[in-house]
Amino acid sequence: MREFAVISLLVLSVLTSGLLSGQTYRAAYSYQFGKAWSSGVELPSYDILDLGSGWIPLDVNDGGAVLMRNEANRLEKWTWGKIETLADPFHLNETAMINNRATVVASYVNQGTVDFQFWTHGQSSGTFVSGLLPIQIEPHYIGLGGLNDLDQMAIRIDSSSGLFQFPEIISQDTFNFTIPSGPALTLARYETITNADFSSTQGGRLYSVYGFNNYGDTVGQLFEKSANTSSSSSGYDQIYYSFNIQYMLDFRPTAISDFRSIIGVTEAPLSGMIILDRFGQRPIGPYIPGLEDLNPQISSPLNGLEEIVAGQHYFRRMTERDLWGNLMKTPSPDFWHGSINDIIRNQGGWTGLQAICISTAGRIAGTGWKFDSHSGGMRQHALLLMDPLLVPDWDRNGKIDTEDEQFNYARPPWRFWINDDDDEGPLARSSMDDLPGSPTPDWESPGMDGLRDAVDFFPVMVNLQEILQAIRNFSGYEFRIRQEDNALNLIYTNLHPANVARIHQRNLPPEFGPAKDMPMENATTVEVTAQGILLNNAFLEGVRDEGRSILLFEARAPTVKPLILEIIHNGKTILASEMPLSISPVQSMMRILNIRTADPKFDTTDGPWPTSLGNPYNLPDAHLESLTSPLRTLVHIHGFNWTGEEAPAAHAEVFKRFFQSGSNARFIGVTWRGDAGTMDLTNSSFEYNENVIHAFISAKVLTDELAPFSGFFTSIFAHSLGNMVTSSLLNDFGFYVGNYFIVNGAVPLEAYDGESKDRRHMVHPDWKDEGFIVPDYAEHLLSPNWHQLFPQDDFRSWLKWKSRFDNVYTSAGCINFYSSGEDVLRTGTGDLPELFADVADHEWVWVFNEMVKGTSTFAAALAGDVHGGWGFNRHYMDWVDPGGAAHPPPGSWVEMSTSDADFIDLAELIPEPFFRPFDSSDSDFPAWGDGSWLYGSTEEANDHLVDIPVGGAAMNLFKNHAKILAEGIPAHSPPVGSQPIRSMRLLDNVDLDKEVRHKDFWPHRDPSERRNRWLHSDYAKPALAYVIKLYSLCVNQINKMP
Amino acid sequence: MKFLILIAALPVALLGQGASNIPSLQLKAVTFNVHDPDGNPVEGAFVEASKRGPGNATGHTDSNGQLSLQLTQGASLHVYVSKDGYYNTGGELWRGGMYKGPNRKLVARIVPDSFEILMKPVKNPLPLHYGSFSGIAPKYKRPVGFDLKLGDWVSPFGKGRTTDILFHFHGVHVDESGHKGTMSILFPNPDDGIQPFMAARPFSREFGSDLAPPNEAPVDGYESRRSYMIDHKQGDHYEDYTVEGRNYLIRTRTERDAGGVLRKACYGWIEGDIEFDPRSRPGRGPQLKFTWYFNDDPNPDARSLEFDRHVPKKR
Repeated sequence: MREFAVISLLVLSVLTSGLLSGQTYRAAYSYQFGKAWSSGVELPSYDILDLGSGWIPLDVNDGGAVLMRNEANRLEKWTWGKIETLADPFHLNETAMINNRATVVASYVNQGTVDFQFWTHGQSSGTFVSGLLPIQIEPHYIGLGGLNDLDQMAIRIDSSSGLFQFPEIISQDTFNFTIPSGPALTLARYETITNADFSSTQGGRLYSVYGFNNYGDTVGQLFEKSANTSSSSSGYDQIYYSFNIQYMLDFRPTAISDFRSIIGVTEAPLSGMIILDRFGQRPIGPYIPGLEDLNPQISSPLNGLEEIVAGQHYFRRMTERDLWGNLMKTPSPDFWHGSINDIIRNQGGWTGLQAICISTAGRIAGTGWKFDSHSGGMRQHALLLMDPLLVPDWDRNGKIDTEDEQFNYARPPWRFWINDDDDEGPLARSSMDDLPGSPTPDWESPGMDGLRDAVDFFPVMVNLQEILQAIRNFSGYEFRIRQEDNALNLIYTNLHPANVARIHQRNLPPEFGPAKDMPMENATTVEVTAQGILLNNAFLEGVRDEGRSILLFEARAPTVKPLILEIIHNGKTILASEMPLSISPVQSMMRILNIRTADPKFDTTDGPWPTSLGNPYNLPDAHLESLTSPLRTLVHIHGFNWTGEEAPAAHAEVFKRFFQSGSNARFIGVTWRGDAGTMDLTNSSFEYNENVIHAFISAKVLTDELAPFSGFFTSIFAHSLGNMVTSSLLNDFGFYVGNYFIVNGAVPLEAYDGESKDRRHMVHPDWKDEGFIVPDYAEHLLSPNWHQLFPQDDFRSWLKWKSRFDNVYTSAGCINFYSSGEDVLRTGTGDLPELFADVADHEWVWVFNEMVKGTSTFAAALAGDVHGGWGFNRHYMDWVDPGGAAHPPPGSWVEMSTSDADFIDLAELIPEPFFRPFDSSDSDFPAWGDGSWLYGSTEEANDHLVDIPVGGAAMNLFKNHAKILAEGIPAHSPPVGSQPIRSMRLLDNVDLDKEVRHKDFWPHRDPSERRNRWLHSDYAKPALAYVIKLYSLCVNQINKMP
Repeated sequence: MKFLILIAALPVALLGQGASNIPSLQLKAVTFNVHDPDGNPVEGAFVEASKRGPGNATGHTDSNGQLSLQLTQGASLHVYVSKDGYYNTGGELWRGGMYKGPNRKLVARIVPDSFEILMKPVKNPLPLHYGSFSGIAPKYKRPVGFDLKLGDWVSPFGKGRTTDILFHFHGVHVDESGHKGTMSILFPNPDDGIQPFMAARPFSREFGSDLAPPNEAPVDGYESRRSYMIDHKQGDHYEDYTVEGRNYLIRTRTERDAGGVLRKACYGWIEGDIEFDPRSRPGRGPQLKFTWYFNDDPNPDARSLEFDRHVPKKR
């Protein structure tokens, strides 16, 4: 427990000292933190809007309206460039407030009396209080303690029962007063009675309200005397109170939030900030000289993370972290303290920034100093802090919300890639569609290039709704968006920030483009030029009226210059808000591990993307770790038949899909030699079995190459034959990762589940009888079972698929994404698929390959060396010659009958297997020799093979093992790509066809045999919108703690 | 995109063999007889059938509901049939392949001369409640209710309010030697129940109607309980109680009046089998997956099982 505490403190200190430029203040009492280790903060990131010189802000509301006193002593209201004079004169001892209903209340001096006035709900002319209050005689003092969003004021009214009449009663009443209906609640009353004989008595409670929230709670100072106390008696009891005089305070309160957090200050000389909230009372921040002269104010944002402003000081409630340091949404008792400067992302020429007021949601107004070119000196200006006007989906959670608006400004820029592939339509035409660097890149075309192109767009919220609602009429205003390098195109949308995920989730109505009347996938793009383009009124009206404030962007070129939105009023730019950008080719956002030339047998070249394992400059690890800690790693291993030139397309597309699905893992694309034998004419490899051998060799190579990236926070996403690489890596070489996503795996099911119940379906028809008239050949004669003849210490016992990879479970948490709609890996029916019929249509291709292994078909010869498998050993066959003079003779080899074969001695099957013997030579395999070792002693065989796990055994021995498995041992079970793995639990098997593919949202395919199915490559072939659930499921696992 | 094409693109010319010499590539006339559940021919139904080469073989049925197309005799046959007012019917109608025939020669299967195809009419599609559960059941050893309308476990395990179906997982034992357990499906009311029916999964490769169940649920035939057991011992083959093509009709919230006449009942159906796995995480219930469609109209005559989202759009 002690160690735990020490570690906890250590982590806390590291976190706070390492991440924050300000200070964290922990409650000064014992607090049960639950699961939290410490707290952390996301600081907001504001721009400064210059309101002009000669003004001092008095109050601000959430809509951005600012009440100000100008240097000519007028009360004025600023609303996004529009200025109204509310009172003239308005002296220094007078106060004014504004709420979120745009109601303004002012108390001010008017011809020697003190009065107050209010302007309800944005009215331009104010109403004096005397006409509405139930007070007969005009008050001669009014204290305005607070105004809330329900149009309630906390006021103290000093009024007289009459002038020059005795007894005269001066009552001093503190009300919760509702505009315009009158007092809702009398909070306190104090009376001073002057009798006819001029004697006086006084008593009651005189309550000055300093803070007032939306629940009608007040905090303030109470002056109390017993009733009928002689005026000559000793002084008042002066006590600070909260909650409408229910609870006494031992500090001077200044404000109360809607979460009933009370803030205040301790008295000088050691003046400091105090908070009293549900966690108790405690000081926050250091002693601040002069704090007693400031009037600290607190916000009440919906997320509960209150902010406090007091002059140059800024406090923000922190949130708890989980055990791994990630911020949670739970508000912490801790406050972060720093300077207003800390929440300004670009101070420009501003100095001496001071906050004066803060609205309910946290909009801050204040003052600062800027150089004045007219006077040649510094001049004080009023200012308003602005949330960024351009907000991307920083956390890529499918909605742009407060968390994105207040994203830590230390994390910019927004990082994305150039849309330089060549998508078209909802389905990929070929792998070339996704190849970056296309000669006809998508950014060149004047619109989105089909639904598949949506992955190359990012949404940005134009944060103008409050401003547009405040100004209502756009006349006189322009909203210009620009980018200095002309590096972006935009698409207008009708999307709401809460729904940006929908561009990757479902078919959207045709509400895109300048007139919002086009389908997204064909919507027109508009180039964002250096001079800027004006946002059109149809879009702005949607922002104002319904908050439909999303623009989609694609990148045309690399840039590090920001996207800028300017608000222009009557030709003058009143605000320019920047969204920092870093746009690069997608390759600069990922790592590549290219092992295509790692072994002499591969005999090829790297292709255009060689190994690059350095920190990607446009998506550095530190950035990703700031989003999800500890840093996650995602390794993508492609499948069969990706050439070096094409592999970048696979990595780019899978990276993009994970990025858009919210992955914060660093991405490593593994390029391996799975394309041996590819013919340019057909772009297809016929040497499948050769590439299975390459998969095993690659696994051994990756053991060292990927070692720096192994661990519980690493996940592998492998497709098709990439699963042979991955399963061998995990099973044979002691590699371990947190998650292993098996996607349409081209690996026999028996490798994980052991002997398959349906194994007869994989037996070649030559070895079984269709009508069960004669028995099948006994199972011990079959090549898949030859391993059973050997004891466990004989490495020939590993020449099998059965349970070959059953140790992967100890090396990774596995999820098998299979498809019951598979074509290529479709589960067999027991028949040999017809080469020129179904196999030519991509059906049962894997099954066909396994069923012709070792046979004398031309197809088997194409797939690799012909040995083992379903061929027969002529040692057990008879040559039957019907006679005659034909040359060559018309005879043929005839297999031994099944009944005779049963009598073959088991020991004889070692030197002479019943199936076709394995190769006698192969120059590609340096340790193969003449292959006779396969049929000899254990020692001799072990000198040429490997044990499992392989560990450090020589590569050449491992190649021998792989050659036999790949070419000579046919699968005796269906592929996992079309089957659940039963040794894994139910939820660890996901049928992509049934559980991920939408019934009513799936691309239409012709010919008809392609319809209504999740086919072999559908993890990447249909647009992301169709298949995003696959990626979301993976991302959930990636982010989950082990 | 890359495919595991392997042999698929092998040009026929490689073997120097003409298409007509390969049985699987020879053409054959195949007749389709399309009719409705009452046996009446469906005229004008559009039939798309797979064939060699690009595109489909297509045509419309005549007044007898018949259409004959020239198709590849040895290749698997995928057929889609559509007509306004009917649910689409389609998928893989017939599978090709090679088997060991007489004289130990490999023989190609030949597509049959004709097929009978049933099309279900669109009668009363409704906005059914539907959903999929894929997760951990709350408890072992005691029945736990599931609300098919709200799609959640009944309180206190979820937001469900009405128990439509009860899952009872018992006899569960998991260790290194294997795992076993029984799932019993129960109902809260005496006349509630479940009955299996066979149909291909709609919108899948398997041939069948996009409306898998009958247009209306039957009034009779419901069982009050159904149980499935898993008993796997380490080293054994994995056995599976699920059956491809098995679905279930259900009736819940059933009430009868004093005379025994149904006063209230809600009908629905479960697509595919109900899968469970006694292996789970420590301290958690078993793993469970199932998909349902539920008509919550309590009128016992409201027995439609048609989901309005699955009605084909007019061409």
